[in-house]
Amino acid sequence: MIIKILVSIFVLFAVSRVYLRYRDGSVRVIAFIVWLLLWGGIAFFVWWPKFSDIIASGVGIGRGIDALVYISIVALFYAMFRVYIKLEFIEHEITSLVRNLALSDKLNKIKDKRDNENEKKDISSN
Amino acid sequence: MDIFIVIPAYNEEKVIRGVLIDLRNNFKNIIIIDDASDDKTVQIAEQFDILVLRHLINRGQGAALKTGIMYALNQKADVIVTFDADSQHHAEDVKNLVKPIIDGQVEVVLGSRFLNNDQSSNIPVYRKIILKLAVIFTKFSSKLNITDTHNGLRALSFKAASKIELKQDRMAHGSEILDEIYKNKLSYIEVPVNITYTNYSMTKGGANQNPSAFMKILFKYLLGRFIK
Repeated sequence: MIIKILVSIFVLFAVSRVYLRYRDGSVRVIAFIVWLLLWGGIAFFVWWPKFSDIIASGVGIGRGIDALVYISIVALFYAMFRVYIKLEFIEHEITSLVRNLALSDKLNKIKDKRDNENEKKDISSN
Repeated sequence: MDIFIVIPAYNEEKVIRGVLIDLRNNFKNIIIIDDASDDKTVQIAEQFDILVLRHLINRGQGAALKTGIMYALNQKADVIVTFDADSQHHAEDVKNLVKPIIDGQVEVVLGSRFLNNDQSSNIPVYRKIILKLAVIFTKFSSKLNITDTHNGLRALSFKAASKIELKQDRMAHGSEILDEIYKNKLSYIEVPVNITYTNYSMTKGGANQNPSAFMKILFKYLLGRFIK
């Protein structure tokens, strides 16, 4: 019974965070609904674990809780993969930013030097 | 023929002066890419009449190499030579390296420490094992048949340098260049070069350094290919 209450409190806390993110616009409607379904699902199975057994036997896994753990692990791995790809992408973005700063710094200096020289030439020819 | 020497450098204050003196006597266009060193690498490099490009934050050797190559391409370099800053390469080897490209024989010339017989006996055993494994690995992954897969001394023609696309910022770019040579069907040969092993250069050098560095780079490389 205690675990049910503890999990429920945590779910309420998590949902409130998601809602705040949604309200300030950093989470889109779709993401908001997915998170609501996820946390709602967790609360549901904590209060009515019998339902997970029905699903589990449907897909050929003995206990409901096992099925939940398997699904969670798969989902977590997939989420990790997504985060990894995203991170690689951001790393590349940073690199190209750093590279372009290094290059434009030099190319501008060369251009400035050339402009100055041309100006001097203009002045002396006048 | 414009030959550009591209040198990625990260915290090389102890050796960079020697490397630059050696190169400066022989070559006009030298580019140092400082990968956000914490030491005096930049100050020392700027005492020479060469180009110093600076990364504001550390992005790795592959990234620095690409920055230098892009600059050289922008300057219409005919040949681009990649050279390590840790004093293990020798300026006199560069002439042999660029010759096949200047003569129009090939697009890419790779330095090899194993083609030189007196040289290969000096190589520390652990490095030798790793490098030999890398040769076997390369036969399968990049489909190139070469004797030294991870030598930082290479020469690229303008055409080769513009086709080779480096995505690996860190150390895995070594294998990536080989993949790109195969993919773009660039002609290549190997030329013997000397490598000097000092205590200093042994603390650098990516995959050869220790097993965990090697595993990390291999993992990065395989993941990079998987995502591509």
